[in-house]
Amino acid sequence: MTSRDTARLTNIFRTLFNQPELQLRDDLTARDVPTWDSLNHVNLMMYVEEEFGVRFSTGEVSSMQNVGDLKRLIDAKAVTKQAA
Amino acid sequence: MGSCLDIHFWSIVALAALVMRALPVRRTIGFGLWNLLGLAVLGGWQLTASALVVTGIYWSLLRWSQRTRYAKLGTWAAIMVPGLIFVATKIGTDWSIAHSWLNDHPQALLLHRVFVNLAYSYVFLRMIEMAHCVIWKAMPLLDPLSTAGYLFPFHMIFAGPVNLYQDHLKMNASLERRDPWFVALNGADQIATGLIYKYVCAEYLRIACFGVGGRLISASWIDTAALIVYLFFDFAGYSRIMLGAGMWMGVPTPVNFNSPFSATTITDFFTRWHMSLGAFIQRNIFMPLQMTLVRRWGVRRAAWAGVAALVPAWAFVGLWHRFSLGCMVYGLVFAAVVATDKLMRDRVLRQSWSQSAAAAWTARLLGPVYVFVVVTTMLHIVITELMPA
Repeated sequence: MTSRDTARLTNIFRTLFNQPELQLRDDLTARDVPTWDSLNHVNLMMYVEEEFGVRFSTGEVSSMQNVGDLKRLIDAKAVTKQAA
Repeated sequence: MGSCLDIHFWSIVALAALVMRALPVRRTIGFGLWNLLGLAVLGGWQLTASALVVTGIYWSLLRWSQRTRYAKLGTWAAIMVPGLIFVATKIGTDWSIAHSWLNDHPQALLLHRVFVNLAYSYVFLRMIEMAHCVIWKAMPLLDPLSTAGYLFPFHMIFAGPVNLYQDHLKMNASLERRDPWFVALNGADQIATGLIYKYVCAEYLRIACFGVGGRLISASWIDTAALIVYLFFDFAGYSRIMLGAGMWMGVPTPVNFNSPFSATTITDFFTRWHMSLGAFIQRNIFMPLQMTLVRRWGVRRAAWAGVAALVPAWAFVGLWHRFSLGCMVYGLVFAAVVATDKLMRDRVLRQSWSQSAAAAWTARLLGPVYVFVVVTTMLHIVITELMPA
C-alpha cells in the first residue's frame, strides 16, 4: 500500500472513530480503539469501499481482524480491479 | 445425555483423543465415524438414525444447490427447509393451541419431539451456517459422514455452542501437530474450571437462592439478579467443559463466554455472553443487512443503517428464546436499548473530558454495574414470559 493510500485510510479511521491523533499500525485492532465496535466495524468497511472503489463480501468484513488485514485486503482488491 | 458427569461421555471423549489421531482417514471423517458411536451410546439409536436421515437429506439439498440446473431450487430448499422446520418446532413448543393439537396427534408429537431435540442442539443454526458457507462463500461441501460430524457433534449436541463450518473444514487442512501435553493440560484446565462453575458456583447459588430442589422462579428483581448469575455459571460452565472436550478430541469448539460481567457497555456485554449465538446472528443477519442498507442509503446514513439492522437481529433473539409476540417485542425493546447505549456512548466519547484517565477509570468501575442493572432489569421485565411460574 502506498503512503498516499495509507494517509487516506488513516483519515477514514480518524474521522469515523473521532480520534484525530490516531496512528495506524498493522497490529491495531478494535480493542485498541474505544469506538471501534461491531456496529462501526461495518461502517468502517463501507467507508473504505467508497474511498477506494472496492467491494467487500460479508466474509471478508467479518474476518478482518486488524489494520494489517485491511491493508492486504485493499491491495488484493486493487490488483483484481486492475486485472479486470 | 445432558449430564457433564456421565462416565460414558468421558470414556468416548478420552478414547477419541487417543484414537482419532491414529485413524488413517481425514480428520473430519474420523470424527464423523467416532461421533456416530458417541451419539449412539449417549443418545440412543433413534437419535443417531434421526441425525443420519436429517444429514442425508440436508447434504443432498446442498449438493443440489451446487448443480447448475437445480441451483436455485436447491438454494431455496437448503435455507427454507431448516428455517420452516425450526419455526414449526418453536410454534409446537411455545403456542398452547399447537401443543393441544400435537397431543391429539401422537405421530406428529413424536416427530415434534425429534425436532425439539435437534433444535436444542442448534442443528438448524449449523445448517444455515453451512448453507451460507457452501452456497454464498463457495466453500467445499464436506462428505456426508463429515457433515454429520459438523451438524451433530455429540459433545455439542445438548446446548451448543454454534460451531463454525469453516473451522470444521480446517480440521483437514491443519497439519500442525501441537504438543500433546499442551493440549491435554489446556483441555483439562477448561474442563476443571467448567466443572467448578457448573457444579460448585451455579449449584451453590441455586441452593442458596432458590432452595434444595427449588424451582428457578423470580419473584423480585433480586431473584432475577441471582438467576442471571446462576445462568452464567451454569451455561458458561457447560460451555467450558465442552470446549475442553473439543480440545482433547481436536474438534474446533468455540468459546462461548468471555467475562460478560466485566463489560462496560450493553453492546460489549453481548459480544461476551453466549458468543457463538451472537456471532451467528452478526454473521448471518446483522452484518449482511447493515452492509446492504449502507450501500443503498449511502455512508452518510451509516449510523441509521446500523440501528435499522439491529431490529431484525434482536427480533430473532427474542423469538429464539420463545416464539411469542411478547418475546419479539422484548427483543425489539432490547434493540432500542442497545442503539441508545451505542449512540449515547459515541456522543460521550466525542467529548474531550472522556479521554481523561479519571473518566476511563470511572467507566471501568461503574460500567459493569450499569450493564448488570440494565440487563437484569430487562430480563426481569420478561421473566414471567420466559419462565412461567
